[in-house]
Amino acid sequence: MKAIYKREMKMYFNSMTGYVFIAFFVLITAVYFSMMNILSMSPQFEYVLSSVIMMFLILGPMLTMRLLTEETRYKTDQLLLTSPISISGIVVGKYLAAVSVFLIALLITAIFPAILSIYGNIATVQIIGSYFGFLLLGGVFIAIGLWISSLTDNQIVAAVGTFVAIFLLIMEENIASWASGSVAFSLLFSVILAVLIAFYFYNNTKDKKYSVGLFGVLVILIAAVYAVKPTLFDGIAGKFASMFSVLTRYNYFAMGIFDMSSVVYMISFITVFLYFTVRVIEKKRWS
Amino acid sequence: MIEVNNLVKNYGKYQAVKDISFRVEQGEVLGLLGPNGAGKSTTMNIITGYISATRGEVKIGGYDILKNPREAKKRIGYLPEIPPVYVDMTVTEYLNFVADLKGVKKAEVKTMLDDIMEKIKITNVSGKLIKNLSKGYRQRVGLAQAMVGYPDVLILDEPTVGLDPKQIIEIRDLISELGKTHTIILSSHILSEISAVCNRVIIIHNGQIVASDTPDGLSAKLSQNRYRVRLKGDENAVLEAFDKNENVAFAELTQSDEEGTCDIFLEGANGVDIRETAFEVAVKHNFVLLLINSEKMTLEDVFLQVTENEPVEEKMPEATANKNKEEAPKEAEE
Repeated sequence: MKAIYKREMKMYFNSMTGYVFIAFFVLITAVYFSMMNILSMSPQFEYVLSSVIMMFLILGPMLTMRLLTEETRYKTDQLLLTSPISISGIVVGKYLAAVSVFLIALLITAIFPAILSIYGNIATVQIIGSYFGFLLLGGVFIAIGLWISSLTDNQIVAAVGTFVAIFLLIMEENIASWASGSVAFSLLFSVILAVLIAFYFYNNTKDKKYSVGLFGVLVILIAAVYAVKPTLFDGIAGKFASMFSVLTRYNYFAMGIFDMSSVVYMISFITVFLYFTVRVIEKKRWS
Repeated sequence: MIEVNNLVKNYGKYQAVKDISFRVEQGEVLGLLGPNGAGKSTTMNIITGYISATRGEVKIGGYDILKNPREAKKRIGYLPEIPPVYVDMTVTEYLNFVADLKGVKKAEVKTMLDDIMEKIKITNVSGKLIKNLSKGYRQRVGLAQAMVGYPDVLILDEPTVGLDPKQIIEIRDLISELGKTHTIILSSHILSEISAVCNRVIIIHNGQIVASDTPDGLSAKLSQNRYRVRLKGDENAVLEAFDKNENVAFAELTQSDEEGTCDIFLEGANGVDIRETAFEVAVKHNFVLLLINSEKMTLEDVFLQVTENEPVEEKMPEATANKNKEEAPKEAEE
């Protein structure tokens, strides 16, 4: 794990990626800081951080897109997987390296609230909470990006995939509130879910007949449930979407509420995606 | 040292490796030979733990590669088909990383890497980025990588691909030398390389072992006591005369370099010295005997024979003899 971590850190800072990431992150934060704090003469730095979240759409893929894609592409995974280290060691090593780069950038931006504190009172608790939540949120996005990079050997595909995933997570609240009202949408959502399950089944078994059969059974089941008790579909998509409410959790931190359940939630989120990544790599060896 | 039992690997419905078993003893150099897509690389990938077998087991020094991967992998140095190098690192950086991966003690790293780079002759490029190296040097860096940590077992997938003739000889000598202290599995489609370096050869074809012996044993076994005999006389008469003789197990006409003569391959039936029979037949039919030469099959011939005509020993002689009979008159007409 240590060897992987060291190599990844070296790669971030031997190439431009690490510097560009940090520079870009600090620059964007500085722009928001100037506009929201200095020009509008407000001490509320936590709003700046909340605004910067949008930048994850670009920064997330930048950090994670080559982590595992390059290994598959240049066959260097052959070296890693035949070395006496575990797959989880490889995954965690890479993950921690990406998080470290992110953390460095985050620490640099701490200059801004420090500047504010010279000229007046700042909401220290909210700002510390924001930073803590921001770190966890970044950790979640990086874990997802790492997982997506394990699925493909193409950097661009990984980047776009990560972009879409982060976009959906950021937009999650909007999607949930929009989706929860409509029964038709819930029905559609259930069918999409059935397609995904059938596809997952097909991907694992490569058996067309049973996969289509499974899809048929699921659709009939959905139709039956809808016929018997249509109210059950009220807000099913919304409920499902709220399972991925990382941003809502972040907002608790930004308000200065140190909610233990949110911490556990974020860390479980990260763990699950790191576990998925390990599974994807392991599965490649068996197929 | 290496034990492979009933290895099977399926890719969907396609079976890449069908029930392969073999053992490699300490200090042995085993050559895996086979046409492209025969399953050599798949077998090596399974042995090193890069991919998993559908069935069967692999043991390295007594440790199962699946149940006890860490111990098993510690004992292996692997050079895959494409050297697994990070192109954006320098050679030294890369080898240091590999040493780190393999858990080499900090104090030993420098001397070990210097020694390996010296042996493989890459000291002069140690500061260069790997992306600026030629194919041959990348291959050497890959080989150096496999040697880091001085593992007992070296698994080399086509180690001399992309090297120039001088480098090939150097690497070959190096492998021979390493073979004294290491257990090596080496795959190649260059047969001279295998016969020069290996103690034992396994020929894999369509995912199965079709032959396994020492390089000399393999050619001896398949060529048996076959002789090339050159006679002055009509081709058909010669072939007929030998075909009728009961001491001849196999007779096949072949191209002759001399005008007015014909060459024939002969094999004696159960232990008869075919040279005597050849002489007797020649005298009896009034052919002038010009040459009797022991026909030793090279590994190339063995390889082609084993991979092309599957039931080697039984079917081939008759089939080719007949074919020649049919072709011979045509040539005569022309």
